[in-house]
Amino acid sequence: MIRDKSVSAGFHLRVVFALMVHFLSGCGGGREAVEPEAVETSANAAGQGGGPTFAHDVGPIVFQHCAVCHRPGEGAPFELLTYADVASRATQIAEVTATRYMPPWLPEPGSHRLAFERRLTEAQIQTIQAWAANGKLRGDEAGLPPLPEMTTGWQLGEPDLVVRMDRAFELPAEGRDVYRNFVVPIPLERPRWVSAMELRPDNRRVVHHAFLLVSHDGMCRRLDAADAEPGYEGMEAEGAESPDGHFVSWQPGKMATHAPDGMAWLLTPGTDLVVQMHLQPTGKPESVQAEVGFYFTDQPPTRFPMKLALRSTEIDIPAGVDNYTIETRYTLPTEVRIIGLIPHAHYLGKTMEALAIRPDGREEVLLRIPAWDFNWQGDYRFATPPLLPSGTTLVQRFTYDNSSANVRNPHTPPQRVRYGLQSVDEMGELWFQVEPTSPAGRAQLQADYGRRALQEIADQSRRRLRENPRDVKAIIDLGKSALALQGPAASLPILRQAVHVQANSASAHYYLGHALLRNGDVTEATAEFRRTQAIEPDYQMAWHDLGMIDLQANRLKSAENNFRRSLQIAPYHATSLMNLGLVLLKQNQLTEGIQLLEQAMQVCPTDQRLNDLLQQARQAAQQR
Amino acid sequence: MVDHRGRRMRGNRVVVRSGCGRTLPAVALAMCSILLPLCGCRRDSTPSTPSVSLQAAVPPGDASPASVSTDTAWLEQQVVDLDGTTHRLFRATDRAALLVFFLQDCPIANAYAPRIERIHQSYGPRGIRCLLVQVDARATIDQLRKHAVAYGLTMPVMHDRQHELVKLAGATVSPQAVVIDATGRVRYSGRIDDQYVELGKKRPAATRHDLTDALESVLAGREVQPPTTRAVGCYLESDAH
Repeated sequence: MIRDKSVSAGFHLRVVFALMVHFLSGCGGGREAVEPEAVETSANAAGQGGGPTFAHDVGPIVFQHCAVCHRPGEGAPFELLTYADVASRATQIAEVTATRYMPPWLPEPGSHRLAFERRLTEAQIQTIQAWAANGKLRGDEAGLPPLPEMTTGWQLGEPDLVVRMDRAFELPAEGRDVYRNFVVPIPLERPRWVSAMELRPDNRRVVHHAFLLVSHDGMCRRLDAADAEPGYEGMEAEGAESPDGHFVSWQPGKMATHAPDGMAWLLTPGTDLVVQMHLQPTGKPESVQAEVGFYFTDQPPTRFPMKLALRSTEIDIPAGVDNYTIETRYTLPTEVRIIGLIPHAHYLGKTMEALAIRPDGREEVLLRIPAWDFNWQGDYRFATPPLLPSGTTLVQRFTYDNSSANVRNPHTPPQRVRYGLQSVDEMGELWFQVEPTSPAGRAQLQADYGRRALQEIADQSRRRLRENPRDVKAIIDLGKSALALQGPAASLPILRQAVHVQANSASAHYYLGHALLRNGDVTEATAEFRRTQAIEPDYQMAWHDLGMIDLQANRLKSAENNFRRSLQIAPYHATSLMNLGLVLLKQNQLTEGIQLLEQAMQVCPTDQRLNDLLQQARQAAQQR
Repeated sequence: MVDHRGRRMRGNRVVVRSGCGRTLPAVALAMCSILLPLCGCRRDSTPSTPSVSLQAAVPPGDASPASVSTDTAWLEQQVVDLDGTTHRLFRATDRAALLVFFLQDCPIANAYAPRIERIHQSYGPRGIRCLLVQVDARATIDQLRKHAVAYGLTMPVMHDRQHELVKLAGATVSPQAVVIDATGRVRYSGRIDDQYVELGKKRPAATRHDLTDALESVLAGREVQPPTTRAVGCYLESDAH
């Protein structure tokens, strides 16, 4: 689900950070979780009167861990706010807490504490068991702590901007779960730094979980337009990406939070919001319409965490196999802090492990999920981000159950299942959010991990081509990765093949032109860009690259026109901003040139080359 | 997908009014107090109740199904719908009765509502008397009436506030189906189908349709195999009323 087009395109790694939306259920107002010792003590204290009571023992647990969702207006099916509410469901509460179905929290404790843990302690579970089995004593409710303060409106206060699905989606009364991606334009006049987004579905009962994503190129709008209903189907939200790599997930009980200081992300005009919702039919026709609040800040980011994925695209699980294992590893070239992580698999996922093996051989469990449940996926953040030295190996180990014993198996009887984005396919991804401890380390990690990501794309493209040698997208991906990893000469025969296979593919012509340009074949490159534009006049990168050709030949006026055209199509394309700025500087238009470089800098705040250029331009302007 | 809007319209016909509410006419009240000791009437104040079986059915501290599925208990059982109208559980033409025990805020039960309605639509005309038994003592008649409309349930809805039927059937879960044939014998008790395996764990779709299989067996005069299955859903607390 957490695809990042910039990674898959193999260009540069985007700034990454998770807007940590985890919040502890039941901890309204930031109350600390009840420590196990405290509960034990309270249970014992009550024991003198013949077992735990609601007032003294069970009520506080329920208020803290259940009431945030089990209250009016929230997603949970019934209220757990009073003695009668809880007593009338005591057997059920005892069972679901003992099996740890509730409160929903998949990980077992690992080597490092996770933030906002929604896990009951063994002592708390025992207290509930004892209470349910021993007469559900009420106790003296005068001693009951008050319900945690719970907001009914926006959890983060009045947003700076609210966008809303333009109409409701009608969910049928029954049938399979629905994964629907709703595209909402964001009316924005100027770029803004976003410190938080908050989702508010009007009908929380049907929304099992959601991700907030963005689309920059209008692709999601086109997908949305394909049928009459709002949104488009798909578990992986084709065409959408996490905003600047920030993960924003929503589940019942998870509260919105602001990004930590220095970690806002840039939202540019023209961007669409994509709300991916996992909807579960309830037995009656339902409608759902969501709104999203944006919270802006004037503080540009100063911290730039990155996103790393360990994943397998080679998943191929024979029918009936109940313990298929994938394992991938990556050795860190520099010291990082691990801020958080997101595991992702579909319905065959069984267990998940994220390990860190330090250079001295010590193994740590970053995350361990003993029983994966797609319905409760989300992101996890560490209470204190562990510091991992250079040379630490990150390990992803997932297992899958493709037997009929896995009741969630989408196939009856089981069938061979391979990697893919559909709900009947399988995936295995583990995303780490890391913060390198130095700018040099950051550059090192970008280069090293970038090569790995490109290699993955090359491998995956070859597999796709074995399936279908005429898969033009796969040929182009292979050509792009060859260009980046081996240089233009290696990529040219591949990209020529792409044009040969599909002569009317604008992308094939563009990337062939791009490789030719990198190879110095300017005339042939120009011809390919013209062919690209003949197929798709608004192919933005073709305008940009034509501008590059003019810039190299010092045809400044023509270069300026081409870059301006590129920016008409994509107003916040950083490279076009930078190159147009450069053209203007060369034409002595220092003020506008500097403005453009500053805009580019806003979009790409960690680009050293751009920063150097901007400093030089400012010095030149001062000397003027 | 089935279009449920049509059903929702039909659902308006559902009779939903207080079974033993405060505003009942005296006759209904009397019937009610005889047949179902609701309305604050104590059971021992109704010695003339026809349900010796009821007495037997609910021995103090014992509500196990084995002790309740006597023939006379079910044959003489009467039920009161949300309108306050009392019915015999069995009418002359009924070949069997299906009771579906139901907590109106149980998400699993609600997810089954369209399936329950389909069973009512297809088996009602074949002689199966389908009744929805709402068991939440705290629910109001108005809530239950609205629930039936919202979920498109057109079968008669009973409010088993005192868990008389729950005890007689030995029902423990919502939703749980109990099929009683015209001789008063419980022929099936358990799940509707196997979609839910445990709380929080369900198949994408059911692979066994135990209830309709049971109804087919009863209609064909065969024994139901298996006669009991484990229903998965929300537990009915024995003292919830």
